[in-house]
Amino acid sequence: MNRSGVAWLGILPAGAAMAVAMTAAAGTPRITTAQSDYVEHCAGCHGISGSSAPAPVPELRDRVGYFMCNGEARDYLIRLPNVAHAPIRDSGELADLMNFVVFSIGGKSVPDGAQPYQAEEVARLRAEPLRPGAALLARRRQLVGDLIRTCDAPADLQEFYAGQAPESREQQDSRAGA
Amino acid sequence: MTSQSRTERFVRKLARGTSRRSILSRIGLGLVSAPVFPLLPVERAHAAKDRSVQAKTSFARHAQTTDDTKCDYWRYCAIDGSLCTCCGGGIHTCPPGTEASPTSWVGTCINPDDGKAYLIAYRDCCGTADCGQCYCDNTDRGNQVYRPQENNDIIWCFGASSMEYHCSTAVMVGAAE
Repeated sequence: MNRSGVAWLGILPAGAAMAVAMTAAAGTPRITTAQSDYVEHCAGCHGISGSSAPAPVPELRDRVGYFMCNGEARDYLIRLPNVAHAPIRDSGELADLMNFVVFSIGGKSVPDGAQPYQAEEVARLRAEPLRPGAALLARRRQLVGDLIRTCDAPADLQEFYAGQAPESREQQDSRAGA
Repeated sequence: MTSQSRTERFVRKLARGTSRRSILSRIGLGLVSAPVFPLLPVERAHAAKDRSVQAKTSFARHAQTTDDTKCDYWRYCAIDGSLCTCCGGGIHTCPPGTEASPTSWVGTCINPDDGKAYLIAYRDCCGTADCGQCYCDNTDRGNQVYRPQENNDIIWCFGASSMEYHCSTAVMVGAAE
């Protein structure tokens, strides 16, 4: 195995989150459009496999799927500023990206029976983006509180990543520049 | 001259005169560390999505595939910093005594040998003083300062135990669609 091959194995998740096809010529992983969009626009901060812990960035792996538990939280994911304003004009492609994020990276956190996002739904929701700031963080705290109470989400979903010590509200607001 | 080109000229001038460890970089880091990002209209949105060979840039047309210690090596299309290949490390390995950041700047580069687009993660190695060798600043598809996660002037050491930048690697993630 060449040196680059070692690197791919190190950077790609071990599970099915990013099932890849290998190109015959060079043995390079070939990834789908949705996966490519995730890597290019999201993975720098959230991590190639959905986690960049202990970086102060929301961990997606085995966590983001909890947001599909109710309609408000489901809508919230699309209305997040960096999702709604993503440089992907086609809402069908953005739906594919978010379905990859939720169902592949979210893994075991996705509730039974959760339905994938549709292009029309994404187009409608991204037209009403949330604004960055303290109000958005308060909204997230409220939604995640509901998911913890009613959807068996772990208490540390309020934090950036699994196992992180609880962060004070003042610290969170400070990070958001509020 | 369009507002976009004026903005680009301003940003390029600013970038040339700004150290990666300057206050500007630290402000950028603060923005990226936040759970949400400020957003402004993105004029180059469509261009940013184009991974086709037809979108090949000047860098891609002149890139080479043999010497990874040179700035024009094809994988370095969007790198900003010292090449780890000149600093005791490799194209995807950090030099001894440094730590790879869990976060990275991501670029899409065209390999001139096969004309295809590949996703490259520029993973900074952190923990000791700036290597200072083989400094490169390539900006393919970047430069969107109002989307900090698409700005490679930021020190991508957040999440590492030290914010001290040493050098940058260029790890192959996969062939893009």
